[in-house]
Amino acid sequence: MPDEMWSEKYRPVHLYQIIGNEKAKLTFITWLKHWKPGSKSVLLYGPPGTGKTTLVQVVSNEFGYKLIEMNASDVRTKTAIMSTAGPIARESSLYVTLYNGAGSILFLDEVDGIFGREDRGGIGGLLKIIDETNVPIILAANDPWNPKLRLLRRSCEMIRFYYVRPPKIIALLKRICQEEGVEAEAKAFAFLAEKSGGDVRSAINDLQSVIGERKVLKVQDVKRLGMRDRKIDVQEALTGIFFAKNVKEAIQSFNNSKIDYEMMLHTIHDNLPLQYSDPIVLASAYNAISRADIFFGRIARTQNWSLLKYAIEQMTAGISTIKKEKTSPVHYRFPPSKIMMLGRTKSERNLRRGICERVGVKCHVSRKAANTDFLPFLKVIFNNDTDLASEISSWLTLDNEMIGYLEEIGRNN
Amino acid sequence: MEVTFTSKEDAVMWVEKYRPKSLDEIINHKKTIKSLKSFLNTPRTMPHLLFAGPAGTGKTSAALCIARQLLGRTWRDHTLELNASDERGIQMVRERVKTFSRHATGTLGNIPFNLIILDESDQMTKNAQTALRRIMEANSRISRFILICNYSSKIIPPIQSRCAIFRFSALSHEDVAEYLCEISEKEGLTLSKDGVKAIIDFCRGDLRRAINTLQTASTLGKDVDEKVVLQIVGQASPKEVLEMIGKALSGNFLEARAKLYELLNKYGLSGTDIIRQIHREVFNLDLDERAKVELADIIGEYDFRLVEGANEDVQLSALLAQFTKFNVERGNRN
Repeated sequence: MPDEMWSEKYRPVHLYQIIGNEKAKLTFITWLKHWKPGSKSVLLYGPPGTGKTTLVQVVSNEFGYKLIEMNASDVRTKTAIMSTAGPIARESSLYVTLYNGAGSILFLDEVDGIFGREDRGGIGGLLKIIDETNVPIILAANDPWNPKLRLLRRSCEMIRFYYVRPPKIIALLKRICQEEGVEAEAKAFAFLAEKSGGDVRSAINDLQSVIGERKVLKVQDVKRLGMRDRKIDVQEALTGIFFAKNVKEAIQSFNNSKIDYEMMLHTIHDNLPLQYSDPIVLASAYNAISRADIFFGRIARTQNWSLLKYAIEQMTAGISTIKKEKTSPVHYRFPPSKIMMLGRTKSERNLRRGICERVGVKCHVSRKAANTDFLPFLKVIFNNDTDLASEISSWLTLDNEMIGYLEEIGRNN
Repeated sequence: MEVTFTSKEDAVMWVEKYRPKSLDEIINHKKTIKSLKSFLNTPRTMPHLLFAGPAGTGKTSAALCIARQLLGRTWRDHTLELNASDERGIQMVRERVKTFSRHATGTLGNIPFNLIILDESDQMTKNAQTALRRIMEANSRISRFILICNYSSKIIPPIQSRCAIFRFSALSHEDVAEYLCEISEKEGLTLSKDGVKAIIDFCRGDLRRAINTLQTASTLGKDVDEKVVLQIVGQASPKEVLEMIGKALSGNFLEARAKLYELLNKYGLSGTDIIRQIHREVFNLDLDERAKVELADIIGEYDFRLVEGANEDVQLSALLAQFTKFNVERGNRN
């Protein structure tokens, strides 16, 4: 394996090397050039891997600023930020002139991650620094709509970063391969760019991990790796949950996986009967995830996210602590069949939705009521009485596909 | 008691064809109808209205009658019909109300106000209802809302206090029978007494389902009796429900769950529908009476969890797991 992360090795040094987000770059530079004490600070926001941090580093480098950088991973507490940021922000302009440089800029990366529940007051202190600062302050966040940042949004100019378009990522990956002396199929780049979802950093990381020591990259290599990652993760996580020795271990196994709780709920639900064959054990395990699902329902209705812990306890430890027959891990199914089924039945569902909409308009009911109170009868009518069926079709303005659907499900019964 | 209909010639589905056109045509809910009629004489005194009651009891019909009788020939131009469960979020509702109010206010002459009928309003979250309350206030000078819901308890108190609340109870069996016989006569059907009883057994006090059942039954011939109705009911309820229960009770959980997935995805049934049908089928099973009651208790618990939970397939699978367990424990007892 190469000993350097390519995402660092190929991190842009000059402005022109940063791909995408042209407008954001321009706005940012204009803001920095015109900044003087009393101006607004700036909040760069957008998805990860779109160049926020890079832009700040490159610009300060090219314009000769001294960059003082803090991010959530090295400074977590409010006090730490205040003790570092405070003095820098108070740095006098006289000092800057004497020093004969462009001065410092203060960069707080990942601000949405800084202020945890413990230090709600942190934002207040930061706001004060922003108000009184003598040096430009730059903030960056993935999710600017985080309620914790509400007050910050007001005192900052907001600059949005978008996902980087695939062609730009493809061009970059190509360049890296040339530099590294790797030959690659064009489709492999396209696949990596697509998979990254516009996150340049993850695209480069993926590229490096699939290439490894290879000198030729084929499209199959790329595809296989993407799937394997996810499946290994599921297999490990479920084994960890089902065979956890205690509550802590079960929850830990879930936390260590990259699967979100909703996907995890469906995956556990799907695999439960594969792991537990004794009906009594199965029923208690299902009772636990039914309880977890109730917590999810309450969270959805009340937005009370502090209930999340109860849901996760039930769906992990709730099933691992049941006294059970001696078993070993099985080959777990993923993705969950619910997701697969939704894909397979998509066209049917669209047709039914169309029919229900038309019934809804004519008969003053919701699509849901149309589905339960009309569709079962319509399919019988369409199977029994072609005259009435055609009258209804023209009254509801059903198209041929919809008519075909109603006749078909009528016949199946 | 006499039912009179002004039939709407173009409507093909009987539920629309025989939908009452004026409040006088509604034969049940005497007290409610009387109060509503008083608003017709002094329209400007009409507050926002909240109609609560089970499905198929005439809430939407009453709202449409008010629209037609209050707003006259051009009622359609001054009435906005919305369904909370169809709209994507409160923003959509706000936008549609806003656009509608802008376009519909031009001709306020003999039109007392615009009418906004919001069906299934209890499907809205508390936050959405709070926003709705503001929309109601912002538009109350030129618009009246008729909110329709199944459970008034799911409507937030500030909205309740702004509305005159009317409760629609399920129709009595006599009233349903009366409607069914009247329609049969108009449509030239011979509806036998046991036919009426079979429809009512299936639909209880839900007139919409009853009329749909009758119309569907008429596709088998002009004579509608118990046998015809049962045949229709059988065809209308997917046989997968019975098969699913059978699999679960014989210990085959995986196949039972596969049937469940089919019902949810292929037939697009809602969890509530499925659980209602499970409940109905359980009493027709070849089990001793005690077992039926115990199963019904389990079903009741999961009906409740279905409402509280987030994923119907999880809750219904958990119910099937309980059925499978029930089977084993019964085997041990005997």
